[in-house]
Amino acid sequence: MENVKVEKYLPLTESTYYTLLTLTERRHGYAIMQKVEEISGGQVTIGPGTLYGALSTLEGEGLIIKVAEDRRRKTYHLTRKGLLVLKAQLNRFELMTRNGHELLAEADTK
Amino acid sequence: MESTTLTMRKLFWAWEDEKEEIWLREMAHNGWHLDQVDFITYTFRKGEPGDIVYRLDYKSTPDADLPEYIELFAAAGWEYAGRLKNWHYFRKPAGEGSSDEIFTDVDSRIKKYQTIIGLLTAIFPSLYLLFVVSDFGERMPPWFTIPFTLFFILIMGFYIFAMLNLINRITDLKKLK
Repeated sequence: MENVKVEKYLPLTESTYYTLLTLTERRHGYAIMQKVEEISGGQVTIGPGTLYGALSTLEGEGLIIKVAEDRRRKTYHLTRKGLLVLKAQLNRFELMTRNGHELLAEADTK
Repeated sequence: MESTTLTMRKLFWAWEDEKEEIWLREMAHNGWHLDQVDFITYTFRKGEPGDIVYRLDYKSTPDADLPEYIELFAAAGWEYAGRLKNWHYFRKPAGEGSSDEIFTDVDSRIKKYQTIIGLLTAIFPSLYLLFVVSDFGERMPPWFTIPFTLFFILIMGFYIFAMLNLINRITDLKKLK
């Protein structure tokens, strides 16, 4: 089985993380922007310049793949490698969150 | 009869794109909306004055996906206002939609200048070959050697000037992180 070094892709930027996250379902560019705004309650916005760059880079790295294409829009989906990277990032976030809660709780009781 | 177009000559370097965006916005305030961009030449069309934000993107990928690229910006509320080589001009009324920025993080803003540095770096070997390896000095008539050398120094001077300015721009942006 292919051994994927996920660490070299971490940490993901906020826009890259959200782009990968929304591509757990197949989506085209605009749908990605809309979904990110929706799930983050408008707190995270990805501009078209940032998104276009992110999609090109992620596709080049093999983390996402084009699944459908017509002249005006391309639809992307996460690859297996992309999913591994996404999960590794999530694990790291969880560790950071847990550590954060633990140490802040300790600080509060002092 | 009042003229409805205005042609202006103005030079902006690649690292002055934000200055250019501000200038285009000011022109729109006065009712002059960008119609066409050519090298050092901007054509404006007279219209209603308005607060229109302009943004420039540098796209180094092939033109094959241009319709999709333009569509992506259009979906986010950006009208395509023209291009000059790899520079693409977008505009939209200020405050409309979710953001007045096409780049929503510092990393992607930095990447724009890194791409241009990458292209400049890629042409360096050919500049070097042109002068040093091809041994032009010996084959050229003597009257040509001096102008050629001066021309080469000028090109190299500009090359270094451009590189330093682009690096400077990236350094400034990194401070925002």
